[in-house]
Amino acid sequence: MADSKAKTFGRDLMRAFQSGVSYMIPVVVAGGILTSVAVIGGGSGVWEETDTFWGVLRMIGQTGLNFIVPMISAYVAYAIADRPGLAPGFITGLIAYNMGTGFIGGMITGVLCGYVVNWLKKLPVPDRVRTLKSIMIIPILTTFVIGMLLWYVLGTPIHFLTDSLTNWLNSLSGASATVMGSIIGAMMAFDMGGPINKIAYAFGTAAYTEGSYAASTAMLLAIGVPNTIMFLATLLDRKHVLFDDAERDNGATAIIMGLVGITEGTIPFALADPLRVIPSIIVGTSITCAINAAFGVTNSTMMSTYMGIPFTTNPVLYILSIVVGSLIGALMVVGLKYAKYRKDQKNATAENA
Amino acid sequence: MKIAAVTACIAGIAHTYMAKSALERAAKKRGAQIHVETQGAMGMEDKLSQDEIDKADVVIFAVDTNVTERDRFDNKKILEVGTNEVVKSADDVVDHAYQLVGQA
Repeated sequence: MADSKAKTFGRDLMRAFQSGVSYMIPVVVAGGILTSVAVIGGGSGVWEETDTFWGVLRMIGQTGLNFIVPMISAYVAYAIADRPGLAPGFITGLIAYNMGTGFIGGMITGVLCGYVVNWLKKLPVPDRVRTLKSIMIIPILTTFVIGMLLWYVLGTPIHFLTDSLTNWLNSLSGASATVMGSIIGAMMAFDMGGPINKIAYAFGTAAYTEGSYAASTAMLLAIGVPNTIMFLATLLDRKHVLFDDAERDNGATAIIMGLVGITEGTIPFALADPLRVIPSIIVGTSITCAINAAFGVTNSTMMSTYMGIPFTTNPVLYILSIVVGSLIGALMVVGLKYAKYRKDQKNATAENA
Repeated sequence: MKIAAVTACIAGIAHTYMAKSALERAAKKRGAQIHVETQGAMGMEDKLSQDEIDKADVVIFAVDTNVTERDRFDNKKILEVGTNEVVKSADDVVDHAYQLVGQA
C-alpha cells in the first residue's frame, strides 16, 4: 500500500486545510451570526459606532470575523507541525489578513509555517541547545522567515490573486452565476457536512469576507435544502410504504436541524438508501441554488437557508427557489423509492405465485 | 486483539460519532476489544489513557483532520483512514488493521 510521495503530500495538505476549516467554523459562526444580528437590529450605522448596544454587538462579531484568516493560518500550521506551528501561524496569518490577502493568504502562510517548523525540527543541534531550539529557535526563525517572505515577496501576488478572484466572483451574473450556484449547491448536498461540503463552505465564507455575496448566498442557501427535501419526501409518502416510522420521526428532526442550519440531519436517510437519496438531494439543492442565482437574489448576512430569509434582497423569489428545488428533490426521491417498492412487490408476488 | 482508535471529522458533529459507533460495531463482530476517542466539536471525549494506548496492538485513526496530541501515539502501528471509509465499510477497515499487525 505504498502511496507515491506526491499522493501522500497531497493528502497531508488536504487534511491540513480541513483541520484549518474545522477550527475556523466556530469563529465564523460566532462572528458571523453576531455581526448579522447587529446589522439586522441596528441598521447599517452599526459599522461606525460602539456607543450603542448594536454597535457593541457589531464590534464583538467583527472582532471574531477578523480572526478567520489568522485561525486558518495557525491551524493549518498546527495540523502539519503540531504545537510549534501555532505561534508562527497566528502571527503570519494576522499579517496576511492585514495585507488584504484574505483566505488564500492564510492558507499559504499556514502551509509555509508548518513545513518550515517541521524542517527546523529535524535540524540536528547539540544536546546543550536542544531546549533552546524548541522554545527560541523554531518560533523566532519561522516567524521571521515567513513574515519577511510574505511582506516582501508573496504578499503582492496573493493580494492580486485574491482581488482577481473577488472581481471575477462579483462580475458573475446571469448564466455564469447560475452555473456557479448549481455547482455550489451540488457540492453542499453531496456529503452533507463532509469534506466536499466543507470545500464549498470555505469557498462561500471566503467570498463573504470579500463582500462577494452571490457565492456566499448560494452556499448558505444550500445548507437547509437537503433537510427540507427529505422532510417533504416523508410527507409525500402518504401510504407509509417508502419510509418506516423511525424515518418519519427522522424527517421531523431533519427539518428542525435544517431550520437552524445543520445539513447533517439528512445523513440517516442517506445512509439507509444512498443510491436514491444522495442524487435526489444533489439535484434538488443544486436547482434551488441555480434558480436563486438566476434571480440574482443575495443575502448580505451569514444566516443559513431559513434564518437568512428576511435579509435577502428579495425574500419572495428566494423562498420560491427553496420551494421549487425542494419539491423537485422530494419528488425525485419519492419516485426512485416508489420504483424500487413496486419492483420489490412484483418480485414478492412472483415468488408467492 | 486490542484496538485504540481516534475519530475526527471537519465539523465535529456527525461523522465523528458515526465513525465511532461503526468501529465499535465492527470490532465487536471480530471479537476485538476497542476504545474509541472522539475529537469532535466538543474537543476530546472518551479520551484514551496512555495505558490503553500502550497496550493496544494497533491504532486506527478515522480522521479528516489532524489528531490532537498525536505524540501520544509515537511508535505505535497506525492505520489512518477518513471517517467516510469507516462509516461506509468499518468491517474492511478493521480487517486492514488486523492485516497491519499480521493477524489476518
